[in-house]
This record gives sequence, structure tokens and C-alpha cells, in this order.
Amino acid sequence: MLKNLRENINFLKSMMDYSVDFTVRELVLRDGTSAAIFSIDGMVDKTEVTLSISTPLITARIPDDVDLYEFIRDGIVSNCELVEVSTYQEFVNYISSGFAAVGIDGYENMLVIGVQGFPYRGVSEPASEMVFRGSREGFSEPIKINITMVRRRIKNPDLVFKSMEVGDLSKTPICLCYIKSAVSSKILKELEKRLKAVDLDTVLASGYLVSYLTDRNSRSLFSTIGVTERPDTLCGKITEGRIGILVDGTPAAIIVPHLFIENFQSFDDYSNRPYFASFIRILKYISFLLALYMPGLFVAITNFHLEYLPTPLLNHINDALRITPFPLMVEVLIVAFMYEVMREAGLRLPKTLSHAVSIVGALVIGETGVSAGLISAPTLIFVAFSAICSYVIPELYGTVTILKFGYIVAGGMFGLIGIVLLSLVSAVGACSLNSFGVPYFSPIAPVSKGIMSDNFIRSDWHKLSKHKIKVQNMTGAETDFEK
Amino acid sequence: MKNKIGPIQFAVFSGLASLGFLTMFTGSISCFSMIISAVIAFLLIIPTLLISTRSNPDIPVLFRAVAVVFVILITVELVDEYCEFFASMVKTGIPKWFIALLFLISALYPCIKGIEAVSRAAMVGAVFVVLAVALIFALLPWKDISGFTDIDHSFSIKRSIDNVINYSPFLISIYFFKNIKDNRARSVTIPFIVMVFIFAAVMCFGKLLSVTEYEFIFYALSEISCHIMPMGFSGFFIAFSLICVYFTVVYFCHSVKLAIKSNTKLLSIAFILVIYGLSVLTMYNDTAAEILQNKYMFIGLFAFLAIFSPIAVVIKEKINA
Repeated sequence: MLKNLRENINFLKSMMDYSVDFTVRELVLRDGTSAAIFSIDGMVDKTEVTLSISTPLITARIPDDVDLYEFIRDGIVSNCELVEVSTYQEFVNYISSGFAAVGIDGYENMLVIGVQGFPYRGVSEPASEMVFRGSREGFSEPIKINITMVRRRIKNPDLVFKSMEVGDLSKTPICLCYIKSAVSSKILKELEKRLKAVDLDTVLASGYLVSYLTDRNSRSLFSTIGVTERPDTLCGKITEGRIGILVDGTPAAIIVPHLFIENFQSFDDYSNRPYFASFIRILKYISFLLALYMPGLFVAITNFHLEYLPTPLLNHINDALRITPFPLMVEVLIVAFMYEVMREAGLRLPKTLSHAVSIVGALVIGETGVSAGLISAPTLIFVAFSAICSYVIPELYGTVTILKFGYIVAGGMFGLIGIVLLSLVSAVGACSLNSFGVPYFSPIAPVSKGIMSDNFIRSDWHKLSKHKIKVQNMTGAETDFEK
Repeated sequence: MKNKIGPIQFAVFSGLASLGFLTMFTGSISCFSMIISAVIAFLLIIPTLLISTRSNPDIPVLFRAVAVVFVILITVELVDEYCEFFASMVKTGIPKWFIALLFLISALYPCIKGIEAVSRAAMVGAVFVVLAVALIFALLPWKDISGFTDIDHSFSIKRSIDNVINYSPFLISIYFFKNIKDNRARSVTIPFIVMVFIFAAVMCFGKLLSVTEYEFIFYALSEISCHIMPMGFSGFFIAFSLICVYFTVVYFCHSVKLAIKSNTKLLSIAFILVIYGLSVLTMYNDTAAEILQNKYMFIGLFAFLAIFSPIAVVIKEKINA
């Protein structure tokens, strides 16, 4: 930066292209020196700026034999968050984050002071991860609030927050969050390497980073990157050696490594009694299989393997299918597709309108479609039940939806053979995935210690505490990324 | 002492596991012939397993080449069994050559993904089987078994030997897997063994219920399921069980790749094309089938690999020393 304040002001104004929100308050100190307070309108708390910066600057008596810059820094500005900047880039980064900068004529450096006062959404209950027994707090958009929520839950010096910046244009602050004694240094190093390799201009949400964090050659329907909106879930994960990534502006944290079984675990499991929690776990696994296979098997068995159906049911299905105009596979595909359209429409519309969509979907398309003979009732039941099952594991909804269509086509064309073969391909594909070197299907395949304690069932805390295993120590984990 | 106990325990375990594993491919067999086959398997694999405890056995090229031929022929046999299973029993109306084509096209992806992925997926397949069993036996009775075939079986030692042959690629492959890194070998092999063990348990269950009169043991279990469940879920059982059959075949494919110390995509494709060509040949040409699926040739090759290759390894090591 330049020593001349006037030149600095002119340069910064032109650099900001005379943007209306860039404000410069010029002052004259009591000894006659010129000073200026720079800020972005709306990003700072004006009362705080007046009380802690401008008023003390104007009213302070400045002794003759002191360095003015040091005197202001050490004796006038009372804010605890104070940083010195010497480049224009640093200056812009800070004031864009809600800091105010104080420039003094004759000095190259400026003082930036934390007086943030921008509006933000408060801490509220996360919409996608509701719990019955547990905290109602969810992540919010400002990264600092999210950091505080994690720190409040783990009062240990081992908890580390490491700041980084991504996005050439947006300069989005992100923060790695881990427990020093639990994390694998190799995984941490690899994560930093992958984050540094992000070549995006803007990172407006954490989802932008996901594809940069997956392991090489892992283009799969299954996600090897976890996401949570709950600070308590993040705390639980990082104690097992995982790393959280908080992205400014996103009310969710990314968690790596992420394993398949984590899709079936929820925070409530650990609050409920183990028997009920285990029942819910098993229910989730069964729902996953039903969501995936039910429409495909219905098509395959009805088209090719009628011997699997009891005679009364077979007659019933035949009666229903006889009056519909389309082949069964096409009919199931159409109904499944219509369901997805209605879901998407209901999701994006305002609540008042989404009710109307539900009514149209349920009554007009469902009821009228069946009574008009365009859709058979069994098809509707199987597709609808499969859709409800897929909501039991919301993290896998996308995967299940895509695969479900695949199974319908495979079952419709080749019967059980098609379903078996597609199952093989998808199982091998999913099993070949690694999340930061840890096998995606751990601890099921390969088998790791403690496989039964927190997967298909949820054991009692006494047992769980004995079988705690760090994610990097699971069987088959290969965290030597240098190879 | 510890080094010797390991392989012997493993031999006993593998022999017991064969009780269940064999029946999937070879149709109905009696408990007697299962025990005979298990004993033969146990005896034959001891030399191989003793040698395989060495850190990195240097297997001579001749034996690697024989292993490749042997595993290709066994895989052809298994593909034939699998296609027969679908084409004739499930009555889909799809020709066998087409099923074999579908089957082998699907095998390409796992082959390219690698042995570890296949082994892990085998474990997932085993979990599917357990879930399917739980589903079947938890549900209510229903009866209509028109879709299942009742075929007589015999108490023959020849049948037992057939079983040993079909089971043998797994045993031989263990020997050749020694070129996998030590830290990975366990994670590759254990899931597969667990899967085999689950099959064995299911098979024993089937035997206990005296339902061996059906051609395929899984059909037998499906038949039970039809008696004690309301509908349709026998389809689950067959579908998910066959996932494991498939994994087995893919596993054998990989054992060939490992045997010749290569892991290229081109080799996988070439290997699968050879299997497909030979499978179609055996399906539609009786003379070719007689030659390629000759049990005595299989026995010869298996015995050659299981007994002489360990001896050759020891001799080679002594010469090198």
C-alpha cells in the first residue's frame, strides 16, 4: 500500500469501481493528521464503528513523542479482533468479510477491525435432519457461528480449526475441523491437497467442492462424501477420526471419509434405547432394499416368473393388468417417472401450491388413472410404496431413484437374470469405491473389528465405547496417497 | 508348529465349507457324496496350502499356464451350469447363448474393477443371502410349487468327484493369490470365505430338512419358502443367491489373471471372449462338450496342479538357493 492516504483512497475507490456500498469516512485527528475508515455498507455494525473506532480516533489526545500508528493500534482501538494489513488484496478480503479498515496518512499499513454487523439467519432446527431427542441446533450460514457451535460441544485443545480459502473469484472461507489426536495425518494432508486443487471461480455452496474431494476414478452413483446440518453429528464424526469442512454461506458441513453404513445411522439412534435403535436400523436396511428392488422385481416376476406368485394374487394382478393399455414395464416406468415429476414440483413450489400438487397427484392422477384403466392398481401400490421406502434413507434418495429405473428396465427385459446381473455390477461398483483410501463398504466388506456393534444393530453404549475404532484403522484402508 | 496348524485348519475349514458350496453347481447330491467330496478336497489341498504359507512362492511358468487352462475350462463349465439353471428351470424362454452373453458382458465390469472389489462384493452378496433367508422364514405359509422340478439323484462317488472338480478352482486360486500383498490378502480372502461359510450353513439347513430331492438346492429352499411364506419372496432368495454364484465365476476369472501376473483390461476382455466362445461351443456341439467338459481331464489337471506344482515350487527354491 501507499504511504499517502489520499492516493490510497483514490486507488481503492477506483479498484472497487466506485461501488455504492464501499464507504470511506475521512477524519482529521486532533494532531491534524488525516485518517480514514473504510467499510462496506451493510456489512458492519455502524454503532460499533462509531463507538469503538471513529469517536475514540477523533477525541483522543495524541502525545508528541509517539508513533501515531502504534499509538492508535495499542492505545485507542479497543476491539479484540484487530489485524494489520499491508496489501490491497488483504484489505479487500477483510472488508468483504465485514471488517472496517483504518488508514492513517503517512503509513503503509492499515488496521482492520472486526465490527461485523451483516444480517444472517439465526441458529434454527435443521430441516433435513430432525431428531426427537437431541439438540435442536443446526448449522447456520456464517462460518464463525458454525465454528462456535462445534467448539461449544468439544471443550478440548485437541479440536483444531484450520482456515483455508477456495474460489479464485469468490474467495470463500472454508474451515477444516478435526481432532488432532484422532485424525490420520495422511488423510488430512491429502484433503488439503485436494482442496488446494479446486480451480473454481466461485464456491457458493459446499456441494461445489464434493466432486473435487472424491477419490480418483470414483464416478459412482454412491457418494463417498458425507454432509450434515447438525453440529452434534459433526462432533461425533470427528471423534472417530473424520474431518469436517465448514464452508462459509452453507448451513451444512462436509464430512470425509464417508462410508456406506453412515447413510443408515442417525443421531437419534444414539439417544434411543439400543433395542429400538437396532429395530430402526434394520427397518432402514429393509426399506433400502425394498425401495431399490420392489418395482423391478414386480415387473420381472409378473412378466417372466409367474410361478413365484400365489394363484389368487396372480389372478388378481392379471385382472388388473388386462385392462391397462401399456406393457407392464412401460407402465411402471411411466408411474415412477410421474411420481418423480410430482415430487420435484412439490419440492420447489410454495407450500400453498405444493398442497394443490399433492391433491392433483393423489386424486386426479392416482384415483382417476386407475378408474380410467390407464394405470393398474398393483403398479401404483408397488411404485408408491417403493417411493415411501426411499424416504427412510434420504441420503441415498438420488442413488436409489436412478438405480430403481435401471432395475425396472433390467427386470422388464431379462427378468430375474437382468436384476441379478445389474445387482452384481452395481454391488461391485459400490464395493470398489474408496473414501480417502477407506473402503466404502467398511466395516462390512472387508470385515472390520466391531462390525456388529454399530451397523446392523446399535449396541449399548457400554459395548460401543469399547469397540470404538478410528476410521483410518479399518481393514483395507490404504491411506498412502503418495503411491 | 504355528505355521503348520494354520494351513491344516484352513484345509479342514475349506473342506467343510465345500459341503454347501458344491451343491449349487452340480445339482442334488446326498450327504454321503458331499462328505466324500469334502474328504477328497481336504486331502488334495494340503500340499498346496502348505506351500502357500511361504511368503512369495515362485510358481514355475508351466504350472501357471496349466492353471490358466484349468480355470478357463472350469469357468466354461460353471457358465454352462448357470445358463442351464436359468434357461431350463426358470423358464424365461431366453436362449442359453444369450444368457451366457449377458452374464459375461456383466462380468467385464467386475473384472476391470479388480479382485478386491469383487471380493468385497461377495461379502455384500452373503449379507443379501442372510437377509433373504430372514425374509423367507419370517413370513406366512403358502403353497403352490408348480414351478419347481423334482429330479432323482444318486449316491455315487463319481458325483462326489465332480463336486470336487467344481470346487477346486477356489482352492487352487488361494495358492496363486500369494502374489497379492500380505496386508491386502486377508481383506481379499476373508469375505469370500465368509460367503462360502454362509452357503455351507444354508446348505446344511436344507439337508436337515430333507429336501434334497430337488435338482438345485436353492430351488429346494425356495420350495420350502413357498410352503411357509405368502408369495413371491422365493424370487428374492434365488436372485440374491445367484449373485454369489456370479461372484464365484468372476473370482475365478481373476485367479487366472493373477496366475499370469497381469491385470490389464485387455486381458480381461480376451479371457471373457474365450470363455464365451467355448461356452457357446459346448452348448451347441456335443463333441466339443464331451472333450472340454471331460471330468477325467479336470481331475488330471486338478491333481497335477494341487500335487505337482507345490513339489515343483520346492525344487525350484532349492535350486535357486
